[in-house]
Amino acid sequence: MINHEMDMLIRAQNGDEEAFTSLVMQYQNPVYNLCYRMLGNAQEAEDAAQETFWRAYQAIRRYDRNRSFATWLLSIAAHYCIDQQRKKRITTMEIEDWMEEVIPDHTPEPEKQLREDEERQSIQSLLSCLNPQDRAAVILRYWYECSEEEISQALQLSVSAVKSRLHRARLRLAQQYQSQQYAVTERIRDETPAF
Amino acid sequence: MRHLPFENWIFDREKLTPSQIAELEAHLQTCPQCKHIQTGWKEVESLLHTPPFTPAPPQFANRFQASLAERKAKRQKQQVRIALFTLGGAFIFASMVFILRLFWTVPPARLLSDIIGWITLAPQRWSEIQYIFYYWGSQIPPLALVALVFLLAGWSILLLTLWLLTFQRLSKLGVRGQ
Repeated sequence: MINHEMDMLIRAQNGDEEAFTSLVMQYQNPVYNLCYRMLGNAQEAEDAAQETFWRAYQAIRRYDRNRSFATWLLSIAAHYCIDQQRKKRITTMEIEDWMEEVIPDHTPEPEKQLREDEERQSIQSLLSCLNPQDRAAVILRYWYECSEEEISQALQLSVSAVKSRLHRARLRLAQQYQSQQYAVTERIRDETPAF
Repeated sequence: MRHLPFENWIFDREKLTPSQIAELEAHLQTCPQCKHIQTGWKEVESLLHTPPFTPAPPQFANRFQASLAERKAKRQKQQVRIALFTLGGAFIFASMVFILRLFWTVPPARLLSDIIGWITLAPQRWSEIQYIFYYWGSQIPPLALVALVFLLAGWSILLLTLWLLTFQRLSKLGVRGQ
């Protein structure tokens, strides 16, 4: 951990709000991204990220400085999102968010934006087939390049449980991808007048 | 056909030795199921290889600061309320004890003997209550008794069904927007 960040952490643990806000600014993107990947909805992700920082603020005095702050923060976010998912049990995205992702913005590079949106949508649709804990494990593994040990710490699971969850998730993702491709091929074939 | 080591190997290809890779390739030639997983995983892996990082919306930290101030004020109010309720409750309790002490004329020994008396008389009181119920029960016409039982059973079933439905709905769907 770099000295500046450690300094901020010590100050935040002593009740310095400004120091905590600077930590929020530093970690807002990773936390928001995790929430967005877990919940698949921009508004819910924002609410979850705000809630994560509030919970972190309340528990900052109990944070052990020997642990990674990022892992600690992501652990809070992942647990909150898993709880939210369990409450909702709805894995599909809201239509507004779907439209938001499908319709490209008027950015200087619309093709690149469109391609990125398609990729984002495709990943999100794949992730939605996983159960919340498996999804959290995959997100931490691929977006944050966490090791199995770090994932086990963040999700409070044993390393062997993380390995088995990752295996199950990868298998499910591969199968889901293939079935999506099959569905797309079938739809194109049905829509083609020659058939 | 045996799939287990090969399924694991498909996902951890980078950790395999050259001989294991050769074994996996040979298996993939003969096993359509593993081949199917391998093809799917390759595509998924390329999607996950450099996944786009969704940044937080603009002004996120400012909104956090605003909500932090709001939540702290709310928590403070809550703490003040709890403290006031506790103090108020303690004051009322102390006042009641004081008033009771002023008007209390019965000595503690008498109070104790009364309590023992009530406890020892409890079985007798219970049998008296039972007698009253049996007596009045025998006065009610049998048809009215059956109607009463049906009415009570009907209401119980209706309320129990409603409770179960609500419980199931809340536990499955949760409360949206919370």
